[in-house]
Amino acid sequence: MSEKHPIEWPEELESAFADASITPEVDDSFNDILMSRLTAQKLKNTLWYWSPALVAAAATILGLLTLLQMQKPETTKSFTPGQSEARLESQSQPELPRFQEQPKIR
Amino acid sequence: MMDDTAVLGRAELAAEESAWLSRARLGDVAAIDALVSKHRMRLIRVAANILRDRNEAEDVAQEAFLKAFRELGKLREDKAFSGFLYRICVRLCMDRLRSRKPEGEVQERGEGGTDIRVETKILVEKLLAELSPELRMTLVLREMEQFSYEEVADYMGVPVGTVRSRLHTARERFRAIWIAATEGAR
Repeated sequence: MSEKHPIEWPEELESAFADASITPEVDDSFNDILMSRLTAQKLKNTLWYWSPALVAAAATILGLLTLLQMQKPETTKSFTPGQSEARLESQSQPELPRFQEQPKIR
Repeated sequence: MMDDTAVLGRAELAAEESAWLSRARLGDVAAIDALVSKHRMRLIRVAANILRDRNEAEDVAQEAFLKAFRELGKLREDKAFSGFLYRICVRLCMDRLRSRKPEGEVQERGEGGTDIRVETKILVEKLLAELSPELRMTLVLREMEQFSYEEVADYMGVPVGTVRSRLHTARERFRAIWIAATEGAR
């Protein structure tokens, strides 16, 4: 503090600097705002830290579900129409018996 | 006798802060709150004197605390906490000063008191704005905040020799522009 200034620093400037010094009034909410920002930061850091594990877990679950789905025996049979249904599906006209015209007996 | 009491008091304060820091590392909110309450006033004042803007200073102080608590693990000695905090704060202020336009307006205005004091304050702010961020920072930390050369060097992350040379240049330039401004006004 009592060091000799290499450049002459007049008293006028010393007092000017003292006058120009700002004395802040700290807002009461300063600590509250800081605490909430700290909590948010902590939460963000926790999420950031665990995010690879969460992504890996989600991928594993998805893979397992896919695997299970692939190995599951088929419960619903594919549709193979029976004969009656096949007939129903057929669009052809019913075949009517044809009678040959008999010569008239005179 | 008086010195012993003062030393003892300082030792007790250091022990108390060390205890708060240990608890803060474990996430104790009350300890963090105590540390913030202890350092906030001086930290905001330093930032306000560098930036000449009270609102921006509060913002920087908040950021400095957030960064300090996030990086508390990097702190080797508990007694170095205030230095650690000021270093972060000074660097954040430097970033803000560098991002400002060179012809930035003087933002802080008088707060009562005599007219001469207010005029002096405005003039000092105006002239400080004419200096480079490095010179301005050095001058404010040394002449306004009364930090030692070693502290200024530590907070600015430069050798003590650089602080001395910057301070020399800053005083020279400030004195020249001060004389020009005040003689022009007379």
